[in-house]
Amino acid sequence: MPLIPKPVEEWYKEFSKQEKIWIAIALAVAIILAATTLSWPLIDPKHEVPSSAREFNPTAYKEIANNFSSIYNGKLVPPNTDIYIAAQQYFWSISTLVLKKGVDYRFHLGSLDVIHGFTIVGNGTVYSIMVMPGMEYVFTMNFKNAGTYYVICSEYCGYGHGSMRMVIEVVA
Amino acid sequence: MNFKLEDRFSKIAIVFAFTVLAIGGMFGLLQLLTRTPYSPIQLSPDQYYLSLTAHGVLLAIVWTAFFIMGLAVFVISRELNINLNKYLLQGSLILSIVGVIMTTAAILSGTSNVLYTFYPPMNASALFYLGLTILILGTWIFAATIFLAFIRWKKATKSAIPIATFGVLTTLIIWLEATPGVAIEVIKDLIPMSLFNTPVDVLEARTYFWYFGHPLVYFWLLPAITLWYFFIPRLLNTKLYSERLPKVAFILFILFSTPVGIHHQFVDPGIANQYKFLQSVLTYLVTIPSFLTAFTLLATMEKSYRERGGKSLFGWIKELPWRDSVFAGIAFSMILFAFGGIGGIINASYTLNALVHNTTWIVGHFHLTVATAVTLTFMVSSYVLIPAIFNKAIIFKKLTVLQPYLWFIGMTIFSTAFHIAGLYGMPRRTADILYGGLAPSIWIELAQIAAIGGVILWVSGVIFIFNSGTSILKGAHVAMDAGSLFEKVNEKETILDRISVWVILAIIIIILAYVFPFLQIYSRGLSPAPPLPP
Ligand code: HEM
Ligand SMILES: [Cu+2]
Ligand SMILES: [Cu+2]
Repeated sequence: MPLIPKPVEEWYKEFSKQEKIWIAIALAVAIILAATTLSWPLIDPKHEVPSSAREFNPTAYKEIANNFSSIYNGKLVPPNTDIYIAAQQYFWSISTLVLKKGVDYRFHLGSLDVIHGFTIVGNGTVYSIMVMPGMEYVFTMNFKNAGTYYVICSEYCGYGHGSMRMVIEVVA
Repeated sequence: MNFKLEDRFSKIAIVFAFTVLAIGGMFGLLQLLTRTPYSPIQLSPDQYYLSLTAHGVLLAIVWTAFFIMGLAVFVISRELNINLNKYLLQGSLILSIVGVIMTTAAILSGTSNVLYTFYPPMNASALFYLGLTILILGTWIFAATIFLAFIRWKKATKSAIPIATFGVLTTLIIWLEATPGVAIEVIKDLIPMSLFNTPVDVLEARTYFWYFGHPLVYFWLLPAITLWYFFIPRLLNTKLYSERLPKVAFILFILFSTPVGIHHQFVDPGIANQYKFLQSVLTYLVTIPSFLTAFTLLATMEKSYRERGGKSLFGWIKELPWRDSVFAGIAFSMILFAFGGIGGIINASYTLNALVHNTTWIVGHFHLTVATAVTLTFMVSSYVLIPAIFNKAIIFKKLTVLQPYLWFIGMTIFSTAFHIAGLYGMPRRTADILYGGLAPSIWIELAQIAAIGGVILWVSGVIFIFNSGTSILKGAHVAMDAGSLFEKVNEKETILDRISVWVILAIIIIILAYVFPFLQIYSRGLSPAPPLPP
């Protein structure tokens, strides 16, 4: 049995005018939607989705993150300092991060056990990113407004999931 | 022809689905009240996650799959006027039910509170994963039963595929395209993890999961769309505006519903942006068949009004049979699905996703799609299927009209509140939204509004279960020739009816979309993480 039946006249019937118009409209809407959201990161790379990831070793990473926390917990992180945060059932390695407004900071995120979600809420901002075991997520963030932001875990990580949070103070 | 065997399958599958819906809805209410600050009912975190796992698995997977199986057998046997293989049919039903019982037992025992997405390395009891595997096996045998019968019919008649059958076949094709992903994840990674503590690479497992997870939504949706195509012209005493656009839409679903799963992983590390970008583009292509569906159905409604001599531009909307429960339920499903679709465009956006990811926006979104467009359509269709399959009359006719209205009102309130709360960052999947006092007051207010909507929704569900349950048990006998619901068309087949062509094309697109992300994952080298209980 041939895959495509013959002769051609039998299987192709002309579409009506309305059907054609509607197919064209649907196609146009899909293209416009795709073009607007997809061109966004091209115009302004800030909107690019972060995806750079590094291999990581949980024990070594834990030490780096704890080290970072012991120096900077509750103290201003100077510009050009990399930020290391580890997630673990059910806490972040640092409880209060103090950052300067308008500065590009490089964040490193990694999980020492299961999947967690790093969600920043506050001052009209909501931003979420996954924190996965086995990988170190690296991305840049710049806080435009001073104020208090909360980081809550937004991926189910166990019974204490709802209590997993930290604070980011952004100072002028 | 005698359809005793087929109807018995449908009866068991549909009664099982209703039971599961009742249990799952109960858990939904408990969750909702727990999430409402100051409500008297508060589950503890372990109870809450047990409830959420049960709600997700039972409603999103079991309720939909069993209703769909019951519907599929009914449609195929009556529309094509053929019998199905008895042993395959029984075997698939037994396996599916055994699988569900195993998984449900694992959930209720409290050892598997891993939610219906069961991301590793969080570990559940092996029974949970084994049950899922057996359920999937059952559904594969089921799909084989249907396809064998279809091929027999096709060889004998060589005619065009009628539209409801086309919808059912598309649904099963998408299921067969999608489920290998989750089967690989469960068999290769999760069962060894739960039995032998084998570590699992999280990104690899998540990619297999979402390869399945996205097309799953079309598996739910397509039977609902099929029912829309089936009921709308019959309720309005007319024919579909076009018999071809629906088929074009179904084919586009076959082609583009699977190679888009990475849009659930936009904020995952370790997948290159080009691949996220490609699957984002493919995702927008899936909007096209939705538009085609909307057009065909709205044009059919307007057509029936014009055929009756209607002149005014929008008069047809008022003239629609709003007091008919089936029509009202389907119309509400379509309206809320339109909003679900608009929200979905935002979720699928490569850049806007980070704003709504894992907030209650997402919960609001899929309660419009699967919990309304699909569930409400299945509910109101039951008001016809119960007489047609069970030969029982619906006892409380007035309640059938009230029920879709209540669902619509309740869902509109619940979903709107959750969408808005999501924009304010309210997280999903938490038992306590107060966050020890950190929660902004707007979260609390919106949670309370959502609770009002959710209770209305639940009442509508209770009415449905009560009415259909008593009708099945105690309804007056009606002799209905279900075959007469379907008209016998005998048109020549066209290229649209050559399903094998479209399946081959779909497989090519799927390979193109997934081969590179998987190459990236495997060439990076896996970094498995050891399992942990929740
Ligand atoms: C009685 C009506 C219902 C109510 C009150 C209700 C309530 C809820 C609530 C409050 C959540 C969010 C919990 C959280 O994220 O912490 C939820 C999640 C969910 N609901 Fe419903 N729901 C109902 C019906 C349905 C139906 C009919 C379906 C599907 C057919 C459904 C599918 C889901 C799914 C898949 C989730 C996600 C579970 C997860 O995050 O793991 N719901 N529901
Ligand atoms: Cu968490
Ligand atoms: Cu999706």
